[in-house]
Amino acid sequence: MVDTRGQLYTIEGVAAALIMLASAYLVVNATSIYTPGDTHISDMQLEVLGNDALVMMNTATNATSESPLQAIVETNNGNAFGQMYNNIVNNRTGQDQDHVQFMANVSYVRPDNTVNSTTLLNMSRPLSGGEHAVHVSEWVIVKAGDPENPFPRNRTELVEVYLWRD
Amino acid sequence: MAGLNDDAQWIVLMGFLVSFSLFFLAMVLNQSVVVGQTTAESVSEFPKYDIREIRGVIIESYSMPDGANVQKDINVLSLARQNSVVNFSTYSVGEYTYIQIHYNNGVTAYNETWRSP
Amino acid sequence: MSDISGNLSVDFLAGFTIFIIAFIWVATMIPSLLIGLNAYPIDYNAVAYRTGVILAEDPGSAGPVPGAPCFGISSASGTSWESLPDKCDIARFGLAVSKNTPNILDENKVDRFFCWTVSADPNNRTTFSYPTDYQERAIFGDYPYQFNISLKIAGQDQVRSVGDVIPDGDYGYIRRDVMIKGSSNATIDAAVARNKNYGYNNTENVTLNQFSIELNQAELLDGITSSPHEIDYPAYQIDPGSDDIIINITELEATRDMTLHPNLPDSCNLVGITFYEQLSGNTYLFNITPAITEYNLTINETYTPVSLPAMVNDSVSLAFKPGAFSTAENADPSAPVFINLTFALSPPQQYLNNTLTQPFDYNYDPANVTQPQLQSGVLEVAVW
Repeated sequence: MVDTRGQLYTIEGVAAALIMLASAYLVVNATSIYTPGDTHISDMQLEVLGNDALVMMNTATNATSESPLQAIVETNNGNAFGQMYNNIVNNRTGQDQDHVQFMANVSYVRPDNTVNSTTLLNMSRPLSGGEHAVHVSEWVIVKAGDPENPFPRNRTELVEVYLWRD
Repeated sequence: MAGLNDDAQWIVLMGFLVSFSLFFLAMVLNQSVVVGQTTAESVSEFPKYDIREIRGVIIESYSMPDGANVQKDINVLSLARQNSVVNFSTYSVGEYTYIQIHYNNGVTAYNETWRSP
Repeated sequence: MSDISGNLSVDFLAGFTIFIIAFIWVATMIPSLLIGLNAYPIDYNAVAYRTGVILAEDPGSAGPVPGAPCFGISSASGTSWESLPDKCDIARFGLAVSKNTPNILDENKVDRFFCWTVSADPNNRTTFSYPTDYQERAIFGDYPYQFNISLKIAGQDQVRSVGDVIPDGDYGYIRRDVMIKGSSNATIDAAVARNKNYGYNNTENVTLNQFSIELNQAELLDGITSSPHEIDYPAYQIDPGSDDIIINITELEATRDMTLHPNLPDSCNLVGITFYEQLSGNTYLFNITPAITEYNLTINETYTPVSLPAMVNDSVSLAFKPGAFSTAENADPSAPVFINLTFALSPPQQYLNNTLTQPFDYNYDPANVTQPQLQSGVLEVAVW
């Protein structure tokens, strides 16, 4: 005669196992690890810093001169941009400096098909793709030519910088 | 069912209660790590600097002698590099000049009528 | 009946399992109910960011303060809070020059902001006390955050700061790059006097020599009208209401006529400083009453309280505080103001004198006035 006594044990065991598995799954699923970078707080801080530095470079020190960024874009002086931006972005009130790297582009509009193109201004380190970079930009009004039409005219160019921390 | 010994059920139930309360507290502590995420994300998502810059460049372009080129550049560059649509126009009433500016980057729209001082 | 103690009935097991799974799933949703609870220590970074924006991009606001000991009693308004002596008139701090010039800080607001002590003396309503005064006016929020705000200006060694030492642990932090607007000043030396013929076209020997400086407030407030800086001109504007006006007159000895009077004069005194304004529709000048007193007079590079006549060797310097010209009863903020200095020499002879030429115009001409320059700086806010 088949004894039904063991069925109770089995069912109880199965039910207990189901309960334990379900709770274990929920607990493990909930405790996923958030790194501080996932909260994007450091990204926000870096964006504010990068934008402030560009705004500062685009402000003339007195009313009659042009801003340093305008002069740099007009003469395409990448080294000057790299030095100045590096100083501003890494400057702190204490003695030690920060370590923010950057890479900059300039975009302008070509005269014929009105599609723009970019030229590299300068970078402190090549952006390889493993870095988590933020993007900031600044509009500059300059009087400059472009490779297709070297005669200088009033135009707007967009300076774009990628910033990241090592 | 008569005869089943259910003395242990109280212990089991109390055990369950304690473990569930511990589990719940662990969840609350775990979720506290991500506080601040949406605050930082909303700050980054709002294009404060973009709007300020574009507004400044548009107003400046209307006081330049060669402003039409600059304005064409603004339209093309903002659409191509910043994924935003910019419309602007000007009109004069009396001694004041008004500039109407519209900016839309898909998430945030900004409208302004600027009056010369 | 067989002894099966310890087993549970099947329907109990099934129902219990379903119930428990559903309960666990609902319990995971409960943390979202607790969002209303204030988790104070968690969002330091957001508070630091907000404080950074308030300080760097907002000009501040004068107005009533609701908490003790002010209880909302104040009639002040506007954004020039730095000149108000009573801290109960200052509703919110903000270091920017104006709403339209973010990241450009005003020097006078910076100086006033960093004037603080730790102990709260209830009788002193001018110096700010850490931390309560700053929490009410810059940090905001119910939780008593501790903080440290530091500003380093390029070219200055001293870092200004408010607050505690930054702890080693976790804290919220933001860094802003800013520019600080300085003040303008005019230096009238022998070269300027010679260029503009101050005193060299007098053919008579006069007892009293009058030298007049004009401050055309309407022209100054009109600002820079030429591109490319038309929009953000408050950053480069000379505003007598909120900036210092400094006038240095040097090399006074060289304005005498050395050939006619080769010896030093017996006495050379500054006998008076008078102020006039030209109200609109009038061609003559009105005395400004009550007299303007908000200025520092430095003679021969020694600061003297104003007690004329005073002997002058070589230099006179006037430093007008912000808003010095707006305290008069009939003050018109756009009327030209004339500052007359009267020198008396014995024996009578030529001296610095422009009664026959034009008043020295304190304007935006770089040949006359050293224009306000922008100096770069770094502002750091740490909250914990």
